[in-house]
Parts: sequence; C-alpha cells; structure tokens
Amino acid sequence: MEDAGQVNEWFMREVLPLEPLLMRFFRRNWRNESDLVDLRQELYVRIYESGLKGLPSQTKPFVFMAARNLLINHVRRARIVSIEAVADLDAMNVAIDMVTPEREVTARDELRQLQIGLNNLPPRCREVVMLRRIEGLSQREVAAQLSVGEDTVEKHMMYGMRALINFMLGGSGKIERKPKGSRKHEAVGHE
Amino acid sequence: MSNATRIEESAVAWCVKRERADWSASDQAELDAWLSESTAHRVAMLRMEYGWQRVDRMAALRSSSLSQVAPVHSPYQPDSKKRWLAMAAGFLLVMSLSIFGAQQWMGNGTQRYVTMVGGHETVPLKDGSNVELNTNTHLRAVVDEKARVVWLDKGEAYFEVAHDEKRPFVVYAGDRRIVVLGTHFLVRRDHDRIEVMVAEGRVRVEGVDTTKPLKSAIITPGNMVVSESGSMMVAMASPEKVESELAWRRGYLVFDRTSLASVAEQFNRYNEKKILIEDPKIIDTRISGSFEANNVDAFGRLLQRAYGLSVVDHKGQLWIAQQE
Repeated sequence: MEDAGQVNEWFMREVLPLEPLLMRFFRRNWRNESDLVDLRQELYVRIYESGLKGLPSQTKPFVFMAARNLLINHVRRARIVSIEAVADLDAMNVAIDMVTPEREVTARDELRQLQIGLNNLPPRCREVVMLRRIEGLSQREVAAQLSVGEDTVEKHMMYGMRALINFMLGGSGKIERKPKGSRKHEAVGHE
Repeated sequence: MSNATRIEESAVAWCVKRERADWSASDQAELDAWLSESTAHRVAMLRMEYGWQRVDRMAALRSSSLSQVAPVHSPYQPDSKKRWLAMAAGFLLVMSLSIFGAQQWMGNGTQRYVTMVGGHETVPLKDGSNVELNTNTHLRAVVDEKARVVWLDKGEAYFEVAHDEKRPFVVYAGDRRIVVLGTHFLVRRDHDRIEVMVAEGRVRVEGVDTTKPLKSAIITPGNMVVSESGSMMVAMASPEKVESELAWRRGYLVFDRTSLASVAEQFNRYNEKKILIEDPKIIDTRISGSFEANNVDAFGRLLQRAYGLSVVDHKGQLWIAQQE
C-alpha cells in the first residue's frame, strides 16, 4: 500500500504528462470522440487505484497497457461490435509498440501552445484569464477593472482555465456547453 | 453532459474558489470531503492542478510579451548598419522611438526598482542575486519558488546571478529575452535598442515573440549583442571594452577615441544638465580618458582648455561650439 501523497506526486509527475500521447492513442482506436472524456477518466481512476496498491516500475508501458485493456472491455460490453472495431483491436498491440516517443517539448513549444489556447478563448474570457494568471491581478481587482461582479470573474475563470488546460494537455480546447444528444450510446459507431 | 465532464467542472470550480481571499478552513474541509468521495474526483482534481501549474509556469515566462500591444518590427534600414558600426567603435546611442504597450501592471510579488537621473543603486533579490541599477533605470522583478524573471523597462543594469539550475534567470528587455546560464552580465535598454555584454560566464539572447522565427545567440566574454527593431547583431567586445562599459559601477565614464557626440550622449544619461553640441563640425572630435559621470562641469572645463572649444553654461545646459 502506497502513501496517497506519493501516489499523487507520481500521478502528476509521470502519468499526466502522457496525456497528449494517450489521447492520440484513444482517438486512433476509438471512433466516438464524445466518449473520450469518460474513457480518460475511467482510465485515470484505474491507474490511480492500481498506484495505491503499488507503483509500477515503468509508468508508460503500464499506462498504455491499461488503456488497451480498457478499450477491449468497452468493446466487449457493447451490444453491437463492428467488424472494423475487432480488426482495430487486433492491430492495437502493434499500435502500442508504435506509439511514438514524446517529442521533447520545449518551453518555447509550450509558450506557443499557451498563446494559441488563449487566442481560442472568447474575448471577454481571455481578458479575465490574462489579467488573473498573467498579470497577476486579484479576483477583486479584475472585477473592478472590468466593472463586473466577482462571480462573473469566477465563471470566466472556470470556463477559460478548463478550456486552456484541456488544450494544453492535448485536447481540442473546445468545451461542450450542453449535452450533445444521444450519440453517447454508440460505443463503436461509424461516422 | 457526461459524468466525467461534470466532475471536471467541479474540479476547476474548486481550483478557482480556492484562490478566493476568504478561503477558510471549513471551505478546505468541504473540498477534502469532496475529494474523498471518489477516486474520480481525486484524479480530476490532480489533473486540473497539473494543468493549472503548467499554465502558471508558462504565464510567468510569457507575461512581458503578452502584455505588449503589437510589437514594432520596422523593416531593416540601411542607416542602422552604419549606426552599428559606430557602436562597435565607441558607443553611440541614437534611438528610434518605439513605445511598448502597457506594462504598468503590478502583479502579486512584483518588485519595482527605479533610479533617477544620476542615480546608482544595488538591490539584492530574494534568491541571492544582485542587480546594480545605473542612472535613470526602471526595472521589475518577480522572484518566487518557480521562476526568476526581470523586466528591464529602460536604462541599464548589471546582474550578478546566484546559481540555480532549477530556476533559470530570465531578463526581458523589449523584444529580447536573456536567459541566464549562471553569470555576471550587463543589459542596456533604450527604447527598442538592447545591448547585452557578459563579464563572466555566458547567457543566451533570444526573441520574446515565439510565433516569429527565432534568432538566438549565446554570448560569452569577448562578444556582445546589439539588438534593434527586431534585428540582432553579435559584435566583438574586448575585456577592456567590457571593463570600460562597466566603469559606471565605480561612478566613471571611460572613453577611448570616442566621438564627442557619443560622449555627450553618455554624460547626458547621468546628468540633468545636458551637453548640447551646436556645431555639427565638432561632433567627430575624439575624446579619450576617464571622467566622473556626475561631474559634467569638470568635463566642460576640459573641453574648453584641452580642446579649445567654446563652452557656455546657459539656462542649466552646456552649449558646446567652436571658438570664434
């Protein structure tokens, strides 16, 4: 049994930096984009709980093996399994080995990404995030400067930081504001 | 909305609320309770914290350039080459005006240091580094556990940087960034013209705007970088030159066959009483020697006696002309 603080640290230091790679793996092997957030969460829960029992000696192969097993379970649970999905799953062993090593991400790349992520935000939201995070103003100061309530500042922060973080960690940076309808039941759907 | 999305929203809401000024022990207890409800909550929170830290780390590096309004990149002008050549010989400070956008903010933990004309001050930073500010210099610094960042808004400063591999020491000067790899060095900024010289160790000078193709240069004692309007040039700087450039640290200006125009520029940086040259024919008069930076009157007497020029003290300025 590992100490929770240690597991938290391991999770942030070794697991989360793999997210861009992991999301690419999911996208390649799973048709339905709207499932990805749930798949990612389910995977993280499994990895974290397994980490509590004992940290793996090598994080990356462990994470991708867990990701593969998760997808296989999902396909088995789905009522209708397309032939294509089965073929993909066979190919997945190869896919895991082929997962390209992370390109060394420099501070410069990250800065560029932050800039793009900021540009993708709605103007008002971007302004709030920049005043708070980049110019270091307090919530109250931002509210005063923009003549809005502090709760409005908080709402912009919640929306903006979430979009920015998802973008920085390799997602699309778009946030669905409303449920997208009934697509979530097509576990292995075709376009 | 999926379950995971809802949890993600809660996690980011906690991150935002936690920064409220009135965050209390009972708020923390509420957060702890939420975290212990499920592993899904815990991992979502870890993920948000991880992303949050990354954004903040980048934001600390980016703050200078992001707050700039449309950086100026004037096309290359032939006469700027001539200026640089003059620079390599002595130091001529002819500036084109380009005002960078609002950087007037005072973030949390931002220290601001200012010297007046003629001022000279050494300030210690929290990390053990020292910054020595020359005359008429404006500088801001953020030093915390994550980063060491300095913005030279104008003027000149000499840095003695405490070695710390985990926190690079970064100096922003206009559209240039100097990343310190452990060293003593000098940065001078006059509007969009930046000069960097190294006394010890080495530094990297690069563009701030990461969307532009970057030129960067690593400089060591023996060379210097002059950057202006988006262009950058590496020139030679002998140890003697660096030494004389740093003479202001002892309160002196040192010249070696420097044109009167440049000498006047230098004195004018340190004194409210400005030297004005009335006659273009004398601007190329060569001056050598070392002078007290704040004693412009003594310099005026020298021009009169040794160079036979007319020096008139009128309305608080020194007017220099040829003898009738």
